[in-house]
Amino acid sequence: MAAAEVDRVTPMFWGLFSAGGFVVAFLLPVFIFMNSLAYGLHVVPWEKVEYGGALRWIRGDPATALLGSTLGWLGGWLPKLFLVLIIGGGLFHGLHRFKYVLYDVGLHRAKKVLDPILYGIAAAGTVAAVVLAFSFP
Amino acid sequence: MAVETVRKPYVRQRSAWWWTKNPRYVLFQFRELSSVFVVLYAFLVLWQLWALRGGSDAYYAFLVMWYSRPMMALNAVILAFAILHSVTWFALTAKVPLFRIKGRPPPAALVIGASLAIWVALSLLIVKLLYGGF
Repeated sequence: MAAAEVDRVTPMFWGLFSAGGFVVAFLLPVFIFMNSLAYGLHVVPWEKVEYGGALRWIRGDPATALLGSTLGWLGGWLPKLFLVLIIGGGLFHGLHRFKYVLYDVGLHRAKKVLDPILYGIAAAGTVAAVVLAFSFP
Repeated sequence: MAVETVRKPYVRQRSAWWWTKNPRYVLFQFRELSSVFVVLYAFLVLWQLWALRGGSDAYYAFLVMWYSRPMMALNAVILAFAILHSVTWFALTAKVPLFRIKGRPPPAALVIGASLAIWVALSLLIVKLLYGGF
């Protein structure tokens, strides 16, 4: 094998794993709480989670109101960017880690099949997140 | 193809439950398992966005499922694993010295403490900024 042959693919996925790890660590718990549990625990009212409330959330109304007239335009971007970061980061981080779980239980022989499938799912999910999130006004 | 060899290496037998023998290994396996829940939640949110795009009837049907007791329980489990991920992630990033203080890597306790403080502050900021408070 030529000495010049450098593996540039593996470090890239480790980089995404690491970046996703930070995103998931800092952003995911608060999102799960607000998105899945807060209403059930009577922390937020129904108006915030029902259809209209969800649309207002993804439109960035609270952020726009808080940021004022100079930074208000950012408000509409924040929830969508937040969703893409969490979904994309979570998928690239989680599936990379899950890959090594599968290697550990003996699937390291199936590397050539497993890697494209797992990273393919992560990439497709991230694209879906971008398309869906930015399809809202 | 690999070259055929005549040697017959000894492969030590290992139980599938080897990790239950030591609390450190249990924590390791649970941390690794958190990845499954993170991925699951990413897909649940994609499903939620899909339902939201489907209009008010589709989204109400989604919410009935979302706030049912089994789903609340599953989401609580996902949150527990997400918190386990956060705490273990801060603990492991503390082992990678990104900067030095007087030529020495910062003490792990300082890095973990700072990460936890940033985590809490950022979470509160998100509640305020994206959700307009409680």
